[in-house]
Amino acid sequence: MEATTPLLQVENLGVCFTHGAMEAHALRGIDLSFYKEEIHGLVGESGSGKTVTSTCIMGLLPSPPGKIVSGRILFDGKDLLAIPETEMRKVRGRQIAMVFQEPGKYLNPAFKIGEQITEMLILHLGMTKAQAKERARELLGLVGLGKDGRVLDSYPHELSGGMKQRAMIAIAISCNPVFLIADEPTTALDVTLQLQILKLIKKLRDMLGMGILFISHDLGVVNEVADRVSVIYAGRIVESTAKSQLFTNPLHPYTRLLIMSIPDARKRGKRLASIPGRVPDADNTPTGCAFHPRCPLAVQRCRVENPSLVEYEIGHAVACHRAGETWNI
Amino acid sequence: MEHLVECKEIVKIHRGRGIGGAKRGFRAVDGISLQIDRNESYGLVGESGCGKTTFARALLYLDPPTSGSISFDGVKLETLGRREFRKFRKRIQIVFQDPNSALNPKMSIHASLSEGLINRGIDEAERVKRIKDLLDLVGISYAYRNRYPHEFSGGQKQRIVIARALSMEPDFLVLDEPVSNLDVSIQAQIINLLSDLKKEFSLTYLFISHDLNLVSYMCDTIGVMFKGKIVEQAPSEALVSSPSHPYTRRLLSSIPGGAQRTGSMGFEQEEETAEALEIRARSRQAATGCPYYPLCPLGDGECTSLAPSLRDIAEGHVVSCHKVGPATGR
Repeated sequence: MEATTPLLQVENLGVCFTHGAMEAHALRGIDLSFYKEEIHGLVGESGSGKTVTSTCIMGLLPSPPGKIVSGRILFDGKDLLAIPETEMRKVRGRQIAMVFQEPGKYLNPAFKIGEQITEMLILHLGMTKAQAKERARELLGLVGLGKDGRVLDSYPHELSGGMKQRAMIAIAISCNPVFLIADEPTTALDVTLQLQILKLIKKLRDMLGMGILFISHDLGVVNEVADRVSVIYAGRIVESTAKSQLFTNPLHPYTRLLIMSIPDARKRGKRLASIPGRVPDADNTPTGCAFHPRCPLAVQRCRVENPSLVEYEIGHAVACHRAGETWNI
Repeated sequence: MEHLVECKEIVKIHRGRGIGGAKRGFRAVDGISLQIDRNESYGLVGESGCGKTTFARALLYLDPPTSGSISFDGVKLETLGRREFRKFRKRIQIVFQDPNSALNPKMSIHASLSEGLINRGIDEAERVKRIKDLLDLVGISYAYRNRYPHEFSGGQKQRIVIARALSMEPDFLVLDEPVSNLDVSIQAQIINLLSDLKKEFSLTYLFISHDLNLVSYMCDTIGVMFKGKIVEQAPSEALVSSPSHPYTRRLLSSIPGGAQRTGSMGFEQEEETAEALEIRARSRQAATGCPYYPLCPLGDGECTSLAPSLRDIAEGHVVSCHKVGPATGR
């Protein structure tokens, strides 16, 4: 994987939201590389900058108040941040597609599912109505909504939450995108449905060879689907590595604590490891390493000097002055 | 064994207002019987819409059950009059899922916490002292007492809601998805807080959640709910290590990150695809039989004709399924 060139590369991306005199640095220089056929999980808590990252890639950052202050997003030889909107429209939906968290919110309630899929096909691929309808039928079969086309003529309110999410995925993959962003696609769903959707995403990755950015706050979900995981905290990537590495050998204290704080049956009777304090607000990020006020390993250096993301072991990058050190919990 | 809470055949029917709605109704909770011992944590798991919250509300008489009986500490709640019931209510408190809507945005947290204490007829000096202790207990600085809910984060609000529930000095606390709206790093804090409080005040918990991982960590006994019924109930180790009901097995195998996270390596993953399940769901109509039949990989003729009832398969392990044998777990 390392040898091939990335499909999409985010370099030193910085985003700032302004509200009057207040400045909130939502992203403070993040680097991410996405490869073909790889599911890249991005884990973080609310307010850490996961969704801002995805809206930047899609070119959907609301501006104002949002403003990209630094960085590039390289895709297909172009910098997505530099190209004009007319050009971006050809990329968005066609080459880079997105699945949102709440399928109910992003499907238009006034149009049938079939119409919402064919709209994409007619607009981006220049299909005729009949061709588009045929293709829409295939797509629904692909996402497990039946080949009989019953769903084509349904309105969103006639579908269950899981079916709506499948329909969303069908719309997203309709133009064979090379890159898919899935922003918490299963958070609104029940556990049994969640697993089905995760399996579907993996199946589609295998079939279509897309690169996928999978955003979630749930380490368990990421463990289930991702090949590579990046952990984001207060607008910076703190750790990035292969999934197996992350769960067996986390180097950043934040990652370690997160993994240990997940309750399960084997921890019964023992105290859960917990992280004191809370996620800092984007307009008031601590100096130095943003995690230092909550970190059990913090030393003076952490308070003043922001660690940069460096490769600690091969293929395992971490941003911490005391990476890999352990402590008693 | 002394039961603190004992429910018998709780049924809650929601009546619709449409044509025939008043006649048919929807059985949201369909005959639940359970006992919760003093100092026990009972976990109720199930997917959304299975009636977990409705059951909790019926148990607290927030929405009185349509039929069935609830005894609390040996007293049958349905026999009590309004006035007598008020005395009981303070012993049973609830923490709701969403702390944002559980706190009145127009009341400072001091006012929110005072309300219950005023109702109990506690004078001001004592109230101030109690509130100080309560906030201390849940880890909120007393200096914040005059702030309003919007000035707090989700985790802090949940702590305040827990403090408010504790202000009534309850014996029994119903926790309805208390951490599912919180950030991952905050969840562990609240869970630890709840464990500490349980020990300190010898509380009894009914812990409602969709997260089997969390419930198996927190609770002594777990009941699995499906469509308004308890389909399996067992001590939590037994439920996780040898789940019997096909629905429980499905829930366990659906936990993302794989079965190893629950420590239940020994049973097979659900092999059936979503399509296969859906096709069967459509072809089999469960009218009189087992409610899980349309989704069940084990079901046959017996299941369509007769609804199973809960029966013992091991010590403290009950399951409602025709196809599950005793002891072997299958």
